[in-house]
Amino acid sequence: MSDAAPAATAPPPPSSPPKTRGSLFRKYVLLFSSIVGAALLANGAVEVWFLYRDHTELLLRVQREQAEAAATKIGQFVKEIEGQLGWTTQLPWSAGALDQRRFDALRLLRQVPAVTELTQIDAAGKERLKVSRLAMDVINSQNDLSQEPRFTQAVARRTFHGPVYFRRESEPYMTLAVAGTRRDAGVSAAEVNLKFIWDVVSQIKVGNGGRAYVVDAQGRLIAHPDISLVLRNTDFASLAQVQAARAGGQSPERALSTEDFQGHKVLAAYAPIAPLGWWVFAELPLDEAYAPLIDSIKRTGLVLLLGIVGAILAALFLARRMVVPIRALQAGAARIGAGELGARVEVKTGDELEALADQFNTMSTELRDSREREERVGRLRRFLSPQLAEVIESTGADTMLESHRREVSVVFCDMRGFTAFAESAEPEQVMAVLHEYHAALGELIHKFEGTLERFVGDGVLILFNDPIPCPNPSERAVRMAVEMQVAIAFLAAKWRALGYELGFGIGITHGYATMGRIGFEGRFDYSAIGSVVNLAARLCGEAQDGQILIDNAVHAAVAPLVECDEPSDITLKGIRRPVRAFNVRHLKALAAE
Amino acid sequence: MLDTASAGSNAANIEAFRKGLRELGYVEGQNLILDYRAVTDGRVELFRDLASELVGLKVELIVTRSTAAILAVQDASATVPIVMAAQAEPLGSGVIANLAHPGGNITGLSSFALDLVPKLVELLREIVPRMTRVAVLTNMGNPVSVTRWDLAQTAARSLGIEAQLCDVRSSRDIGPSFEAATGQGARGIITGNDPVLRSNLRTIIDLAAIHKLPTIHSDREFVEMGGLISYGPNYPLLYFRAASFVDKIFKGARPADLPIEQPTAVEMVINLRTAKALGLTIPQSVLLRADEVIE
Repeated sequence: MSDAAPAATAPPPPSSPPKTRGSLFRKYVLLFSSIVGAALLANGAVEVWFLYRDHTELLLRVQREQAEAAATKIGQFVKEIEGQLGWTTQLPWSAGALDQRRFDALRLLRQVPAVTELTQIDAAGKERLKVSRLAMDVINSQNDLSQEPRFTQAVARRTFHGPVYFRRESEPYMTLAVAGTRRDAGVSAAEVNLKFIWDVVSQIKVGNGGRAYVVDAQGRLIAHPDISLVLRNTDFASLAQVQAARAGGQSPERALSTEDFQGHKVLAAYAPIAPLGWWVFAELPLDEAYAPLIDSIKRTGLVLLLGIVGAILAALFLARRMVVPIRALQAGAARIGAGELGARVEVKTGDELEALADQFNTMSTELRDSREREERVGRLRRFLSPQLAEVIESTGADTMLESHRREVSVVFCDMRGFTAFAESAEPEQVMAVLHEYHAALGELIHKFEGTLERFVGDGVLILFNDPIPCPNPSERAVRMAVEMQVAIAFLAAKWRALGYELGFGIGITHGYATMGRIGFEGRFDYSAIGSVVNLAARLCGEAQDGQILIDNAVHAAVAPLVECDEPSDITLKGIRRPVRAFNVRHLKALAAE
Repeated sequence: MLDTASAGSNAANIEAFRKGLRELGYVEGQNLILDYRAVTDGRVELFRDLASELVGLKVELIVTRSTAAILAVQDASATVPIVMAAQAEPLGSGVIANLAHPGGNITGLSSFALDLVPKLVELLREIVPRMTRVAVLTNMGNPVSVTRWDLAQTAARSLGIEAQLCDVRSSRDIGPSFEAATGQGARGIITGNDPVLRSNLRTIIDLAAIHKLPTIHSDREFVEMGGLISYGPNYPLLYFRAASFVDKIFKGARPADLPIEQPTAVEMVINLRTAKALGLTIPQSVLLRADEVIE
């Protein structure tokens, strides 16, 4: 706050505190809410990540299981046909057996609707029997089939799974051949309509929008709930999941997130159909797969949002709790700065801030008390010596002013001829003389740290060694008296020039007196009572202008320092025995330096 | 629907079709209106008028059965999608380009009944081993019948028997056909299921009984009426599947992209009562193939 700058251009002082307050407030709110927000975010992210992982894992496991179940079913379907074919290869080829074989073949067609055509080949590779649902039966054609894979492969490996082919370019078929266990049993080859696999595949429910399908070892679609796709002879070999299956098909996961043939994002799991080298795929649209996850993420997000809002509110609240007391303290300090000592700050937070505020209040009270004391001391100083004022202020007037008895040196002094002067002179002149007189004396009283006990017109009573103890009270008294005589002599010369005949006498005694408060409620004085005081007044009365009369006790104390006239025994009023008094002429040179 | 038989005589197929639609969530009167039109007495020339009528009703799709019906619809509108319920020979008759990609605005199912014609010859021969001549009752006015006749002739020849063509263009031709068949020593009859024949089913069965001629058909309805044996696709199943094509097209699929489906099963029905009346013993090899036996 610059006083040099004109008030109009200077930034208004009140704007400064709110600015700093705002920064602390912002800092707290930002820090707190970002810490809490970050914690919540991290927690939410971790939670979502685990949720995502578990959810994906679960979905894929379910899908894989579905694919595996379908693969098992299809595998069983093929195995069953193989088993049925195996029965037809039990008999040896002998004459007359053809009719029986035809019945067996017809029975097989009846039991296995998927088999459209059954061909029986003898051990030499000659076609002996062909029974068909669609074409005319062929009996004992003796066509040479010995070079056909269905014969050679079946003989070599007992069973043969031909590639999938499409009758009329649309019906999926496969040749399945089984060789008999006997060497002369030959081979039974069946044309199997794979549309029956469709039933298996279409029964698999993968979620709501998911599907299962089967591709052969070359990646061609064999079965799909949408029959049209199969009938159109669709090639799936380029799909990532099919490539994955064909490439590293034995990897334990057998699942991936990819795209289906229409380019939709799907979660795909697959399982091999062991005997055929085919694959069953179960696909679930990603949208559907992650719908619950997304819901849950939304929920987490909402909780997160609420958490952050809560954190901000809490931060606002805490920052307020923090800043409001600080601001109160600031305002309190400002008030003290502005001079309003004893300003109090009300903070009820029950924490360190309240302790700080209490401390502040204590400090402020102390400040006020100290200021008041200083003021009091200032006031006292006008009447008392600064030392006395300090003592009274620091020890408390009450103890100081309690009645007590102490050995003191008492100085009494007054002017000679003052009564006559006061009667003849104008009051203004009297007051002017008194003023000069008191000023001269007061300066010396302060200098020698005497205690001004009272003024009585031109009479002045000064104590030493009370209420503040001092070393050599009598010596101080005498030294002061000598200087007083010099000072008043100087003034008297001046007054004489004005026509005022005024002199100055001093009496000094030393002895015990009782000091204490006298007076009544509303007006108390500090007063010394005792014969030593009376004696000082009497000695003063006896003293001629320029004389300093001291009693025995004082003389005893200051004898080495002063030169005195011969003592004279003086009879004083009210004192039965004459008192020996010494007039101090001057201080010895030794002491005068 | 534009069919070859009256709603009454085609009830099994229509009901199967309705069932298919119901399973796909269609409810008649709520989200589906089904109009049925059929020619009677094999008057296929009437398909033209009926097709125009249906197109005039602004139908969204027409389910048909016969080649003549398809041609009539294609003449009446180039845009209304056609679903074939059981087309005998869609490739040979030229209504589609390719089974996998039919092209145009037509798709559906093929019965491939003609494929089985040699099998019919074989089965009839097996039941009547001494047969040397077989009569083929078919409407040569229907384009698919030419193929039917060719296949039958070839199959008969391979079995060492004669085939005799009895061209039935209308109900008036049926009586004379039987006269001709018995007159020339035919011991069995193979019938087509052309609209003309289907609408004269009763007459054909009665005449076969009178002439003591065993008959074989593609369609089990003949056997249920008293024919001896049928071997062919399960037609209600085809009609049931046709509903899925309707559904796909309603949901926006282009018919040209929907491959033609073929029947997955062939069923044989034998009427043992008829066999008994004819004094025939059905051999074990035939009985083994039978899916249903009417006693």
